Parts: sequence; C-alpha cells; structure tokens
Amino acid sequence: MTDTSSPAQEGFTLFNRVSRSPTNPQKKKGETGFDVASLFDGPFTPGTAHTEDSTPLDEKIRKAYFWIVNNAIISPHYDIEFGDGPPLNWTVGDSKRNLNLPTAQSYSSFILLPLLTFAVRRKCLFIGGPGRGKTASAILMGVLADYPVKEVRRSMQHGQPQMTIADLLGNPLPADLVGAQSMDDIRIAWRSWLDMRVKIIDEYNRIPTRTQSALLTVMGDNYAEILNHIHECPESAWYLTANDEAGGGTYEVIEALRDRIDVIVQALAFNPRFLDTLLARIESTVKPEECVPAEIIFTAGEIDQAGEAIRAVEIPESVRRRLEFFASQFEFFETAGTQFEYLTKDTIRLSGANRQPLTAADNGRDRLKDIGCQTLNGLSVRNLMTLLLYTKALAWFRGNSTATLEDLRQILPFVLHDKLIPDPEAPFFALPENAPYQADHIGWLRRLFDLSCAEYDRLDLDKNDPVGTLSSEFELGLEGLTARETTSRLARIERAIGELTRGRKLYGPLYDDLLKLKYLHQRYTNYLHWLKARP
Amino acid sequence: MMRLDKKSQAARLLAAHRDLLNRRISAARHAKPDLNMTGLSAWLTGPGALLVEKTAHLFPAGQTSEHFALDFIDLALLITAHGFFRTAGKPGYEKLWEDILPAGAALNPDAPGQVWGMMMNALTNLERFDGSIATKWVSLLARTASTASTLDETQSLCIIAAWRAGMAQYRTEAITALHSLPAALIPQVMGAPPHTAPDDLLQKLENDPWFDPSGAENTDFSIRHQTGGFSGFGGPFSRPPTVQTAPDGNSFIIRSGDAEFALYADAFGAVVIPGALIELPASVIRSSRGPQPSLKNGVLEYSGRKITVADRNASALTGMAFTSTAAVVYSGDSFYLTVIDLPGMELR
Repeated sequence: MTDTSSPAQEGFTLFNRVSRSPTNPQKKKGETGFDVASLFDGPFTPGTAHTEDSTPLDEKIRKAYFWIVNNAIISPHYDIEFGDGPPLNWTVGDSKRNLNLPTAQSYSSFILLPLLTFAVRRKCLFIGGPGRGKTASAILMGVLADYPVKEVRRSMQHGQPQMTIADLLGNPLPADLVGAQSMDDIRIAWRSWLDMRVKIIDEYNRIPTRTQSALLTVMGDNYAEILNHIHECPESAWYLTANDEAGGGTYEVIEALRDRIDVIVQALAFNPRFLDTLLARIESTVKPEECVPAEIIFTAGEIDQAGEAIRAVEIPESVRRRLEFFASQFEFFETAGTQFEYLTKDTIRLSGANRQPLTAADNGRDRLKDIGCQTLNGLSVRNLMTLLLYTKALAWFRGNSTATLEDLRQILPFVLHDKLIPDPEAPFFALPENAPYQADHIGWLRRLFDLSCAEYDRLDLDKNDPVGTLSSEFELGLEGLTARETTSRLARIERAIGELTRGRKLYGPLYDDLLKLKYLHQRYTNYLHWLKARP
Repeated sequence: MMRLDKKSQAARLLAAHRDLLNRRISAARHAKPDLNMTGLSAWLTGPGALLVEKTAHLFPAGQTSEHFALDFIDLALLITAHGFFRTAGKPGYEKLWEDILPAGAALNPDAPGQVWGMMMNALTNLERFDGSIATKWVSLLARTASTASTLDETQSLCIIAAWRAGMAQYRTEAITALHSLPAALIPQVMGAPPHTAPDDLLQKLENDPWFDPSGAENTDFSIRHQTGGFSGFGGPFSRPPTVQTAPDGNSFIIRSGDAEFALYADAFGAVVIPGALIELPASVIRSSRGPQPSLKNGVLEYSGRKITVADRNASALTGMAFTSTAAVVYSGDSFYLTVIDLPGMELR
C-alpha cells in the first residue's frame, strides 16, 4: 500500500529509482561472462521490476539507505567510518583535530541508525535544534513501512503541555459512559496510531508527566490501557524527537521512559556548501517522502524476516570478550560498600548517599587511568542487549554474517549516548585535551571504548585469560564430573583468586572476574555437596 | 527549437495532462537538477511526437489515459537523463518510434512503461556494445514486434533480434526463445522464406551455427568475421592474444595478458566478451588424434581443402584454434582474430 494520490508514485517511477547496482558489492564465485537477462537490465526498468522480489533484505535496506542519502538528506555527514586500511588522515587547526577520509563504505548515523531501528523494531530518539530534519526523517521511516505519507503524518503524536492520556490512547465512548452498568460495557475508541508498525512521537519532552507514564506502558510493554480495557499493539519501530539532548523541555522526561530509548542520533548542522541543492528543492516543491520508490518499501513480513536475519548474525568470542571487558569498567565503586557484591555505583545511587566523600576515600587507584572513574553509573542489562542487537544489525546491514570489532566500536556511542553518564569531576575531564569530551558524547564514548581495548591488549587477555579458561571448562557441564575432579577445580579457582588479588589494586574488570570466580566456586561447591549427599 | 503543432496528438496529450506532467518534470528536476531541458524538448517534439502519433489509435475516444501520459513523460525524462536523446534521432532509429514502441504499447495501453522499459534497456545495452548492432536490432525487431501478443513473446523477439543482429553469445537463449513462439511465427522472425517448415528450421539452427535462413548455404571454407584488435585502437586486447577452444567445444577462450575473454561466433556475428571466467582444464584441450587443420604461411589446410587467410593488417598469423565447425586464426602483431567457417568438416 503506497500513497497513490501522489503523481510521483505512479507510472514508470523514474527519478525515485534506487540503485540497480549492488550497494555493497562483493565478488561472487562462479561468475560467467554474460547473462542474457542483462540485455533487459538498465535505467529504463520500471519500478515494478520482477527481480525485486528476490532482492536480499540487507541489499534492500542498503538501497533504502542510499536512496535517502542521495535524495532526501541534502548534506549527509559520514560519521560512522569503516576502512579497508589506515584512513587518510589530516590534522587540522590549533586544537589538532583529525579529519579522516575512510577507505571503505562509511555511513551517516542520522540515516543509518533510524534504518537499523526500523529493521530491529526498537526505539530511536532524534535530537537536534529545530528545522534539522528530525521529523522528516521519522516520517520517511513510516513511509518505508508501507504507510501512505498522509497516514504517517496524521498518526504522528505531537507532544504538547495539555496532552492527556485520552489524547494519546483514545476515549471511552460517551454513550457507553452514560449507560454502562459495568466497566466492561464501556467501549473504547482507540487511537489508530497504536496499531501502526512505525510510531512517531514528535517533541516527546513536551508531554506532561502523567501522560508520559501511559506512553511508557505502550513503549515498554506494547499495550495500552484505559478503564480496565487493554489494547495490544503490534511490534513497532519507534521514533521520538526532542530539541534538547538532556530530555528537558516543558516537562522533564521520566527516567524509565528515557531508558526505553535504544539509540540516540543527533541531527548535525547543515553545510551551506549544499545550498544549491536546497534551492533546487525549494523550486521543485517536491518532498522526498512523497517520492519514496516502491522497491524500498518493506512489508510487515519483510521486517520480520530482517529481524530474524539480524538475530542470526554471529558475534564472535573475541568481540564479545572486549565488550565484557568494557562493560566491566563502569559499575565498580570500591568505597561504595563493605560487602563485596555491593561495591557498585548503583549502591550509592539507591542509597542517596553523598558521592563526594566516598570518591575522596577512593584514593588507592590511578583515577586517571581507570576509565570507570569517568562515569557516574554502569551499564544495565538492557543497554548490553541493545548494544549486541545493534552490533548485529550493523554487521547485517554491511552484508556480513559475523560482526566485527569495528561494528561494535562504531555502534556503541549511539546506544550508550545517554546511558553512560560522564562524571564531570573525573580527573580525565580536567585535562585540557579532554575538555571537548564533556560536550561531545559520541567522541567521548568512542574514546572510552578505544582506551578499554588498549588496556585489554596490554593485559593480553585474548591469550592469557584464566577466568575465561575456568568459565569455558564449567560451560562443558557438570554431568559425570567426579568429586575428585570437582575438588581439583575448586582448588584451581581458589589459586586463581589468590594470583589475581596478590598485590593488585582493584579495578572494575578484576572485580567482575572475582565475582565470576565466586560464582563458579559456589556452583562447584553445591555440586560437590550433592555428590557427597548421594546415597 | 521545433514546436509542436497545436493540433498534433502529442500537443493534445501534453495539454490534457498538463498539471500532472509538469509535476512529474518538476520531481525529475528535483532529483537531477542538471536535467537537459533542451534535450527533453527536442525529444518531445521529435521522436516523442512520432511515438504519440503512432499510438493514438490505441485510444479510440481520442483521450489518452493518465497512466499512458505518465509513462510517456517518464520515458522522455529517462531518455534525457541518460543522454539517450543524443542518439535517439540517428538514422535507422525511426522504426523505434514508428513501429517498435507503439507495438509494445499495444500490449497494455494503460501501462506501456514496463514493455517500453524492457525495449529501451535492450537498445541502450546494444548501443553501448556496438552502435551498428543496435541499428540492425531496431531494423530486425521493427519487422516482427507487432506480431507479439504477450510481454514474454516481446522479450523473446528482442533476444532473437539481438542474436540476428550479431550478438552471437545469445545463440542458445535465442533458440530457446524460438521454441517458445507460435510455430507460424518462427520463419518470419528468422527471416526465412514464408513456407519453411518451422521444425526443420529449428533443427538446422540448432545443428549448424553457420546456418543463416535468410542467406544462401555455404559449402566452402570461408572467412566469416574479423574481430578483436589492440585496445589502443578500440579493440579489446592490450597484449597479444592467444586463443584456445572452450570446454563446451563451441566457443573460444582468449587470453590477453592477465585478462580473459570468450569469443562466440556464428552465422550472425562474432563477439568478444571480457571477463569470461572459464577455466580450461588441460584434459579438455583438444588432443592430436586424427588429422587436424594446419596453418602455414597464411594458408589454412584441412584434408586437402585450403583457404588463404589474410590478416587485416597483413601481419604474420600467430596461431589457430578450432571447434567442430569453425577455426579462429589470430595474429600477435595486429591482435585481430579471423573466424573461418569450416563446412563439411568432421573434426569431433
């Protein structure tokens, strides 16, 4: 279903054509010199080409990406960089900033992240000043999901200070309210946007707090409730917009709602060098969302298939281990408690204790070197799940069945954008060269991950990881394990703890390693008890 | 610039759908700000007007449909955007607008875009390959396009016409396409005399690559094609070519430096295709059992029959490869290949 009211979508579909050539060409084996079918391939092929059915979905979404880059976004910024080799690099200005020219296909986060969100059906927040294309991009995503432009526009929810739950979700029918003998008799007129597979909330930080709670239920649990009546919503991709990165606005956004947002993308500034294109657009009076070609429209089934294909992408152990090491850096806070399990930043947050004296007491470690000291919090399970999913999605988008470390590195800042909160009092930010990181969260998070990987390499954890070895051994199962072997493994765990803690300061990764060893020790201990108790 | 007569069919079409077509052109200019509007006007007032004139009978009520108008303007915009308007008016292409595209539109007057797109793509690809083949294709297809009653038949006719125009690599697909056509059409599309038996014709075409139903049967060794050449002079080879018989026994593999090519040759043409990734196992290279053609001092000889092979540049001939029906003699000096028909030989 496409909007047939627009002449740009009828007929031969010419200038809204998408790339016929592979968007990310990879050499295939067994190529022959010619194919008679190629006689009929070319620029004159109409949009209803029969070959489109067989287009792989990753190719289709790449075509969508390039169509948006070429037709809808006037000045894309290539801030997700990939390379086949070292990038061409220039140092510019007094502050010696790097300008990289990537050597492989690189992408614009403002287009790529919404598309990945579309494929994995998660939640994306556009931030940026007014008039930068946030809402227009969200509407494009709705059109890609096979909705007419008018329907997408009409179903977009505009945050405003008087927005009620009824405005958002629907109304009880007045006649039923008057005559009903019980709640069950009251029928609800649900708002139609609840059934859409792409949901857009414009200026979500202007929605009153109470209505935000109703929105949270829809966003988090996928259902709406009014007067004990439940309306189940389909799996959807969500696009929210806000002018303010911090979520501030007319009303402060409740934390739970902010936490439900999976990725944040910033609408970057317009480059006036593209003014001629802008002028041509004004003169032509054509809106990109009204010319979306049929070849890049996704049916509900195709989005399901894309989601399955993304989940099937492999994340190799080498990549996963670096993410584990990175995530281990942040939650640990040595002076937060006395019991080992409670030495976390969450303990301080939940207790409401004053952080400053506890930080002052933490004087044994190098707070500049410890990247965990740069944040006020750690990573949640939801953050890590989102990070893994988007890493897979990026690898899939690039036509790969296995994710690489660079996929993870590139996607990480957009997922953790407002999830890892920087500690402005950290010694790291006091260094003059690091001052810009207080404003540039994307750059800071990427730097954080690079520092973590450098430390991982320094410790040579790919080759020398005793906790990993013990964990792998345990993963083989306890079935048939003798008491003698169990006791031997317990002794090895105790020895490993002794070696790891001997004369060393406590850092996040070591803290998590020790907790893992404690876990393994407990599992073996329980098993040993069971073995001994057996008749 | 030419102007349309206000009473012409094209002027009436443009006037009837003026707002719609203007929006379409506006969208095209948005997507391609440097669209050549002079080229667009030239096509609309020339070949485009002819096309509208020749399709007018499809709309007896005198009013073209909105869909037809959109497909028409889209065709005009694509021709302009891809620079095809520069060749659109060349001699030999009149039949395209007079016969071929109108015949395509007749299959589905309300949505001619698909068949027009297919035909224009074929023409663009042939034009890119060899302009003379494209011109011949237009001429051949113009004679038969109106006989098609379905899109599939049109596609078959396009392939057959491309083969007959000189695209020898389409031989197998073209013969398959012939089988899919109504039997009565087969002699006509192959240019055979009207009362030729279709089955006999098909059998001859399958068995003998040098059989041309429109020409006289050849019984002597004869030079049929000269192709190839140095890349500096417009040919495909940057280094001296060497030729071997392909594993299928019907075509040839050419190596020129690191590059590989395939040579397909039959009665209708000889074509060198770059990048044919066919590995030639040593076991397939023809063994020297029995008598073979020989090449000495520019004379090819086999079982007492001879032909003098002169290279285009009278350079020394370097070597030869052969199939059951043809030999290819090549020159390391001029980089040209000479294809020789060997009727009556039993080399297999």
